[in-house]
Amino acid sequence: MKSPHLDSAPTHVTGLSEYIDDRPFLAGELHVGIVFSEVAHARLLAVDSSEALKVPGVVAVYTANDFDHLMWGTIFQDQPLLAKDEIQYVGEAICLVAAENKEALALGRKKIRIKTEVLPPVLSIREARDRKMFIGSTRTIARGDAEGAMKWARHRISGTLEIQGADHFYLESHAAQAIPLDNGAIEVHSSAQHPTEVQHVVAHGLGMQSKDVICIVKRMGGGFGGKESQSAPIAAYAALVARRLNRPARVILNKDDDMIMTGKRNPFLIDYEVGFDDQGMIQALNVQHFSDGGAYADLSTSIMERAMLHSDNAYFIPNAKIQGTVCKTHMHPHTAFRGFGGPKGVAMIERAMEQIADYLKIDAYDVRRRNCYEGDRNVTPYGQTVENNVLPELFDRLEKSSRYRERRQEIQAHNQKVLSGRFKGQDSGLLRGMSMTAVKFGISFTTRFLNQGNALVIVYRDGSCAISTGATEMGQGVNTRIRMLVQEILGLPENQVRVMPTATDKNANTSPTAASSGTDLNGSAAVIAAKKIRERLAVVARFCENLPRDRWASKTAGLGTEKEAQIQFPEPHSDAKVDENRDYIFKDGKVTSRKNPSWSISFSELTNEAYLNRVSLSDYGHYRIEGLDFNKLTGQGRAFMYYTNGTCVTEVSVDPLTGEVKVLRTDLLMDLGRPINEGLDLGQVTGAYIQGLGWVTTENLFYSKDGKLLSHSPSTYKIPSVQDIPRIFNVELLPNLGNTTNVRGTKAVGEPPLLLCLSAWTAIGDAVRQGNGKPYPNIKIPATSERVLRALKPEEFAAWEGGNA
Amino acid sequence: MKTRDWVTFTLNGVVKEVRGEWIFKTLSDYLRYERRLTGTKVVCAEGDCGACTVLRSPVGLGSAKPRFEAINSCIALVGQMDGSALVTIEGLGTLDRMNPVQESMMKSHGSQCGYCTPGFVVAMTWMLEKGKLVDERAVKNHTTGNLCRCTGYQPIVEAGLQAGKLRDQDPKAFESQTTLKRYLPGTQKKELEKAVKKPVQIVLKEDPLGLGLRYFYAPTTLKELAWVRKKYPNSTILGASTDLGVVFNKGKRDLRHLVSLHLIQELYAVKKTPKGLAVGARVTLSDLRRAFEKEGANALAQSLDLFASPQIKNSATLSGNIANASPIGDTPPVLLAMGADVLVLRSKTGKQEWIPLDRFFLGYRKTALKPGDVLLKTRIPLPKKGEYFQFFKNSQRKDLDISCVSCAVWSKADRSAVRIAFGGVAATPYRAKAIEKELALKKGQKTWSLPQLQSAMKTLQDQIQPVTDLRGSTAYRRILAEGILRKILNEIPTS
Repeated sequence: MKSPHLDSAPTHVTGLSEYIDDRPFLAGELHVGIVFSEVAHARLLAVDSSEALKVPGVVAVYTANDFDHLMWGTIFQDQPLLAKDEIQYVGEAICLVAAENKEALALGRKKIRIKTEVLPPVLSIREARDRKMFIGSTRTIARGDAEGAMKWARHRISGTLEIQGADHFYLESHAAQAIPLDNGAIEVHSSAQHPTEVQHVVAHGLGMQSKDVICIVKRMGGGFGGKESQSAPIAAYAALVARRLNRPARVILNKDDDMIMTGKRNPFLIDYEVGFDDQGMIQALNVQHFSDGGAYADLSTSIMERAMLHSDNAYFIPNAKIQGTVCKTHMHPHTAFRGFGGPKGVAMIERAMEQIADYLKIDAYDVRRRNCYEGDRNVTPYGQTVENNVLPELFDRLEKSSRYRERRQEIQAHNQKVLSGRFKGQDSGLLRGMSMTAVKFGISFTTRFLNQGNALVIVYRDGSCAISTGATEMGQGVNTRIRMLVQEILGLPENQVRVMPTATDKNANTSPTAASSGTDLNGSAAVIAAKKIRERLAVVARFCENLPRDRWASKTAGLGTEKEAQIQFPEPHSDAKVDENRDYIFKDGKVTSRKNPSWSISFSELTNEAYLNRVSLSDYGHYRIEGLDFNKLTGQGRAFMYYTNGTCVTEVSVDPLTGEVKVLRTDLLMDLGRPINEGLDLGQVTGAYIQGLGWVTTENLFYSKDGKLLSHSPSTYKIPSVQDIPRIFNVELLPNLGNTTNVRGTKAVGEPPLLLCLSAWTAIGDAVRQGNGKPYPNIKIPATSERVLRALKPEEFAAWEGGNA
Repeated sequence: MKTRDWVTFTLNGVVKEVRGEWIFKTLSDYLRYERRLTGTKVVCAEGDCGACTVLRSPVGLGSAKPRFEAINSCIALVGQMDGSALVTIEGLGTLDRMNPVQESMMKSHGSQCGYCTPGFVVAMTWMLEKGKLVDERAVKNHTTGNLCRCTGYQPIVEAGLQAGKLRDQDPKAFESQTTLKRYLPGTQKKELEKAVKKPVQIVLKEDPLGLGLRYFYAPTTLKELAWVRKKYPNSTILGASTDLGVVFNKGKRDLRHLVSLHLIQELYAVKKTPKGLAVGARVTLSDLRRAFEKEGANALAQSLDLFASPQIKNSATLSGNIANASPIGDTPPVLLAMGADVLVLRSKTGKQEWIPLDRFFLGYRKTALKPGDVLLKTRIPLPKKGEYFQFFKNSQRKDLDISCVSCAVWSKADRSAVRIAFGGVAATPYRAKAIEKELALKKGQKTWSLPQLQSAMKTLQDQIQPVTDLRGSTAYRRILAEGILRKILNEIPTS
C-alpha cells in the first residue's frame, strides 16, 4: 500500500511550516495578554487597570463591558467571554491587556488589580452531586429489566471508579491573530478545530454579522479536541482589540497559562453493578456516570452522552440501565478530548470484565470473548444493530498472534518466582500483568446536524486543482487524505492537487473537525464536487474525441475564423448521458477513451478545452450522513453510521518497591476498512494509544485544595516520552477490503485506538492482583506509581497515614 | 583591561555581534522575532519539551575541540551564546536538499502536526553527527528531551533508524555535510576565538519600562570575577541558566544583573587530584559524564543518565545543580554519598575556601554561599577498587522527570564504612549520617543483622521529614526512602 507523506511534511521537517505565532508581525500589531482569576469562586468587585495603563507601551485594557454580547457556548450559551460579576474558576479570563511589546505586556498584566470577594468553591464531583449542582438533566439509556435481572443474577460485582481528567498538551498552545480589514470586516487567524464556531463567537461578541468575520485556519500544532470549542474566546480577544483599536492584534498563550485556563478531559465518577452467571455472561448492568463539567457547560453534556453510548463497548448486555449526569463545579470548563467520553464508559465495562474474571477465577479474555457481540446477540442497549461485526474476529486473531495463552502461563510462572523471592525478605523483581481490551467506537456526531460537510473543488485551466473544505489540519492528515480522494476521482498526480487553508469565506456552516469525522464528512463532500467536475469533463472529452483536433477550441478560439464559428458545444447539463466511469478513464493526468483506448487527452489539455468551451471547472459538494435517528430523550435509535473496532493486548511490569510501571509489550489489531493512506492511519493508531497511555499512567493533574492547577507545565505534568513507549509494539490492521459503509471503504481512525490504552490500565490491575493476592484492585485513572503502590501495599500506607488499610 | 560591549556568535555560519536589549532576552526569542528563524518553536519555555532545540558548539572556550551539541534555546539568554557557533533547523537543510534526518522524518511519517518536528530533527542530527552506531537505544537516548504528542514516537524512532542507514550508506558524503564542516570554517572560528579573550561589560542605563540599570559582565579571570562580584554582590551568577531561564520565563524573577563565568577558561577543566576529580564551574553534565567514563567510574556516570534531558545536560553545569540547592536536585545525593567538597570564592576577601558538601546545604534553598561568593569547583572522590556505589531515583515518569525520592549509597568493600544520602525527604539534600554509623559493619560481621537493619530504618524514619506535594505524599516518600535503601543495601555484593 502506498503511503505518501503528509502534505506539509517537507515544510515541517525543514522548519518552514507557519503557525500563528510564526506569522510576521504586521506594522502596529499589538500583543494581547489575558489576566485571569487566581481564585476558583468569587464575586468580581472591580478591575483596576490604572497602574497597568501607566506602563510605557501598554495601550489599552478591556473588560467584559467592552463586548457587545458577552455570552457564548457551543451547546448552551452560558459562558461569558470575560468574567462579569462572578468568577467561577481559577484561570477564568477577567480582562485583556494590549501592549506594544512583550515586556510591556508582561509588566502590564502584573499591574492589574482585581478586587474580589471570595466565595466557597465546589471542587469535586461528590460535593457537586451532594449539592445537586448539575448541568443539563440526567439522561438514561435502558433496555430490558436491569433491576430485575440484577436481582436474579447468580453473581454480582460492583464498583466505584474514579477517573481524572487529562490535559490535551497540544504543542502549539492557543493562539490567534486578528487583522482589521479596510471594509470593516475582520480577518482572524486561529489555531482552531472549528473555524465556523470561531467566526460565530467573534461576530456575536463584537456585534457583527458572519459575513464580516473571516476565520482562517491553516494548520494547528495539535488539537485533540482542545481546540474544538475553546479556541473561540481566544480569537474573540484578539478580535476585540483589533476592532476597538483598528490595529492588528495577536494572543499567544504560553503553556502554563494555557493549561491553567483551558478545560481538560472531563473527570468521571462511575458507580456500577454487574450481574452475571457462572460462565461470566453478563445479565444485567446498572451504571451511574457522573462527570465534572467544570464551571460552564461547554461540550460536557454531549461528552456524557458518548460515555453512556460506550458503556457496553464490545459486549452484549441484555438488561442495562445506563444513566449520566454532568456536575457543575468551580473548575475550568472541561471539554472535548479524543474519545469524547467514550473512554470513560469503556474503562468501566473493561474493569468489570476483569472483576468478573477474578471473581470466577477464569481468564479475563474468556469473559470478554463470551460476552462479545456476536451472531444475534448484536443489538446495543440503545437499540442500534451492530452491523458488519468484526469484533469476534479481532479477538480471535489477536489471541493467536499475540500468543496470549502461552504468555499468560509465562507471566504466572514469573510472578510466582517474584513472589516466592519476596517471602525471603528480598524485595526485588518486577511483577508482570497482561490484559486484552477491545474498542467498538461509534462514528458520527451524536448531535445529528453536525453530520454534514461541504467542499469547494476548483480546477484551473492548466489542470491543477485546489480543494477547500471545512476540515482543519492538525497533523492527522485530513488534507492529505482529501487530496488523495480527489486525486483518485480526477486521476491527477500528487503535485497537481492542493488542499487550501480552511477559511469561512470559502466553506460556510462547517462542523468541527472532530469525532474522527474529518475525512468522512469533508472527503465525501469533496468527492461529490470532484465527481460533478469529472462528469462535465467527460462530456468535453467526448466532444473532443468526436471532433478533428484542428477544430478544437484551443486551435480556433478567439481567432475569428470559420472553424471557430462552426463549433457547437452541447450543453453539459442537458446532455449528461456520458457515463464518465464507463466511457472515460481518468488516470495519471490523462483521460483515455474506454471504447477507443488509443485516444487520450492530457487532463490539462482537456481542462483548457473545457474552459474555452465555457464549461465550469469548479464545483461545490455537500454531504450528509443518512439514516441517523438516535433520540436523545428516549436514549434509543441509530446513533452511528458505523463502528471502528479494534483489540489490544498490553503487558506491563510493576515494581513492587516503587509502584513504577513499564509497558513491556503491546499487540494492537484494528479494522480500519480500506485505508486511504495506511502510513497516516498507523500514525494515528500509535499516537492515540500512547496519548491514552499517558492518561492512564503518568498524567496526573494535581490541584491545590483551592482548585488551582499545580501541574501546569511539562516539568510537573508528565506526558509520555520516547522512553515510555512499549518495548515491543506490534500494530496490525485487519484486512478488510469489502467495507462499503463509508467513503471509499475507509473507516475513521482518529479516536478509536486511544481507547485501547485501557488494556495497559487493566494490565496494571492484573499485575497488582497477582502481586498481593487480593481481589482485583480499584486503581484510579491515572494509575500513578504512588497509586499502584498503594493498591499493592495498602497496609504500609495505612501504617503511616492511620486509618484502615 | 579592554572590554567589549557586545557578544558574538555565529548563526548558521554567519558571524553576529549583538548589543543592547537582546543580550537579556532568550535565544529562542532572538531567533524567532529578531532573525525570523521561526522553525525553532517554543512550547514549554522551561527546557522540558525540546521544541526549541538548536545546535551549539563552543568556540575557543575551554580546551575541548568544537563539537555541536543539542541545547534548549528557550532557557538560554542571548548573552550566554558569546563564543558559540549556533545552527538552527533552517541551517540543516532545505526543501530541495534535506539532510538524512529530514528526509527520513518525512518519509517515515515522523511528523504529524509538525510543532515538535524541528526539535526532533535537530536532536537526531546531533546523534548522527556523533558518528556512533544508530540503533533504537541511541535514537531514544538522543530524543529523551523531546516531547511529541501526535505520533506515539514509534514513527520517529523509525525515522531515526532510517536516517542512520542513510548516513552509513555514504559516510563520506555525510561527513562533508556535517554542521561542523559547513558552519565552522577557519575564519569565523578565528574571529570568535579572538573575541572571547576580551571580557564583556555591557551596561544599559536606559530601560524602556523605567526599571533601571541592567548589566551583563563576563570576566576572563578569577581576579576580575572577584572584583565584579565585590562591586555587585547581589548580581546573579549565570551558569547555563537551565533553571534561572525557567523562572525568568515564568515571570518569577528578572535577569537584569548578570555575571557570566563563560569566559574564564580554567573553569572548563576537569582535573584528577589526589582528593578526587576537580570539576570546574563551567563543566557541563555531559562533559562530566564523559570524564567519569574516562576514569572508569561507571556507576557515577550512570547516575547522570536519569538526569534531565540530553539538551539540559549539554549545557547545565554540575556547579549550577549544587548551588541551586534544590532538595530534589539529582546530583547532590550522589555527591554527598561520595563525600565531595566544593571550592568557594569569597569575593569579599578574594580568598578561596574548600567546604565539604555536607556542610554546604543549610536549609531550603539556602547554602553556605554568601552574597558575592562564587562556587568555582567541585571535588568528587572516585570509588576505589572494590568500593561500591549505587544511585536510585524514583519519579513519576522514568526519564526527564524531577525525582520524588532519590538515594545514593557508597560503601567500602567490607562495608565497614557507608555513606548514604537522599533527595526528596527533607528541606535540603539529606546526608543520613545517623544511620551510617549504625550500618557500618563491625570487624568479623559479614552482613547486617535483621535487628540492625530494623533499627537503622527506624532511625531513618525518625530523621527524615518528607512533605506531600504533587510528586508524592509523605507516606509514599517514607515507604520509598526505606524501600529504596533496603534494595540498594541488599544489592551490595558481599566481599
